[in-house]
Amino acid sequence: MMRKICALARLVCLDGLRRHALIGLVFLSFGLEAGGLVFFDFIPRDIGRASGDFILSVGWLTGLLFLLFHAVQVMAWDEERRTIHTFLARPISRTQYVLGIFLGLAVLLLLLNFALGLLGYGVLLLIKSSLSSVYFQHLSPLHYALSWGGLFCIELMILAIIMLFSGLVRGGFPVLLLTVSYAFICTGLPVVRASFANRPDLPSILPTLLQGMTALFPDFSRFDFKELITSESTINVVQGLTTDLGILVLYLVIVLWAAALVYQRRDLQ
Amino acid sequence: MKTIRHLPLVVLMVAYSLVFLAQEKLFLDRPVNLQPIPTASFLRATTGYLRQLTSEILFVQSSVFLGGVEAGTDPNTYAPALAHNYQQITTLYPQFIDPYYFAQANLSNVSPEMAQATNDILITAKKAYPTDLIYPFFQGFNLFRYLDKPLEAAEVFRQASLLPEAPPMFSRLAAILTAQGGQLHAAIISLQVMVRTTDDERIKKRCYKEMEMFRQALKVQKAVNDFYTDHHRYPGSLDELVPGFLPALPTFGDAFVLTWNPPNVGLKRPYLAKTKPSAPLSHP
Repeated sequence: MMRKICALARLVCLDGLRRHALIGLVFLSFGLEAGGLVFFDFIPRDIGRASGDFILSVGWLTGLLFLLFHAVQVMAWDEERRTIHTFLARPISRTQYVLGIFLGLAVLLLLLNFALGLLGYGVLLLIKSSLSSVYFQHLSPLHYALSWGGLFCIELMILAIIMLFSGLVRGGFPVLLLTVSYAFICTGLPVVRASFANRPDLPSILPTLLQGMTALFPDFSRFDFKELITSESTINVVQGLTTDLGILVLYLVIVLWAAALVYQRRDLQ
Repeated sequence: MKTIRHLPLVVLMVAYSLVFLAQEKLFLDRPVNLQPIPTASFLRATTGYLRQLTSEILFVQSSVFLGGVEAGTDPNTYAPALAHNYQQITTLYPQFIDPYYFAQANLSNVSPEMAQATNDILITAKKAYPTDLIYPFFQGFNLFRYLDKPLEAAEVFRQASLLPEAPPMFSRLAAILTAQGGQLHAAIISLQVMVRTTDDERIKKRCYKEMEMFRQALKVQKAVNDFYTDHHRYPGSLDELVPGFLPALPTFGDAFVLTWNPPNVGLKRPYLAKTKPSAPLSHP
């Protein structure tokens, strides 16, 4: 089973690597990351923190562009070009198809993040070496890798949701709209929860309802470790990491399972 | 014929250039205003993973604005918007330290309201960096310098003096400001604690000297209380105490001057009484 999933993932991966739009996106992101060398000039004191935030934010924007303008299209393209029938004519199940596409896109994302992370680290080292230590006191490689890991986790969750939406609706654009809405709910929900947290006048069911919604629309800020990049403490790295990883794995399994179930009932026309 | 055909295009291009230059002139002539940014909750909900970068960019926007303020501009015209922006930026990203320094440098000296706004911003800083000494120092400084609340300043410095790595300066500031607020007994006790907790002979010597001055001020306070018992009113000035209740008012050289805020006698650093409020913000 894994062999077939991997074979399909390889095809998705190669197809992505050949796309000029994606190559352009990578070069644009490289340029933006190098722009960190200019951005830090605007920050008077907290330069290390701001530079780290800038690099990771570029990574997030790039990942989001990849997800919203490439990943949402992949399954729709297969249907439009009828390649889906070729895939499924082989002894490959629809579940394997969903998992193969997910794996292929996840590998592409990983490569993208790895390249950007590597370049970003170089940029940060360059900035650090050009400053007095008071402006950029610490650059922890472990925390830096963890920050990119957190970012990758968020992207994987969005990718899994894209797989689910791609099975639920036809065409890339509706999937894009649904994904953007999902991302906005995930971002806005923690703010709503925080504003309702200290309101005893509201019905007690509301916080429970919002908590339940957070299970469906995860709080991405829990995977945001940017603030650790310039931190010297190593204690906070381990704290909560197991639960974060547990949440990620279970969420991916459940959503991909649902995506596979939906896709099995899909009329491919 | 070909040239005539392209003539309207040339005319259009010239017209466009003229309108463009007119627009540029209007743009350059218009007064630069600092626009208040949306609230931190709204920004948090809409920016998500870009929260930190957003607050940094908003800070850059504010600092670029400050760099372009015309010389002589009344800071009150933009200070409320600046205070609002710093408040939102720091709420959005409390760990980012630059807005705290900029608020202290550019807001606290504008007016007492802005000094209070700066201290409200610094509350966020103290929560984000509970062991950092610079933020309580800023807060205490604003309280005694711009808000004329020496006792509150003394309390801020006293709390800061309990932090690890706090230099003796904080305890001493707490003691001096307690004296300035008219609580001379408390100030003496603070100095006595300092003497017992420090091994530095220089600091001990200075504390003993200041304790002696505070005791002299306490004698004046006692004279005030006696005056009240006899006359059922407080003296209009401390000179009224001489010679009936005191042979002479004590003097403290360059160290302190006596202050009189009925019913409390206090001590104040003389150079603080002489300095004027800071000049409006300007750039060359």
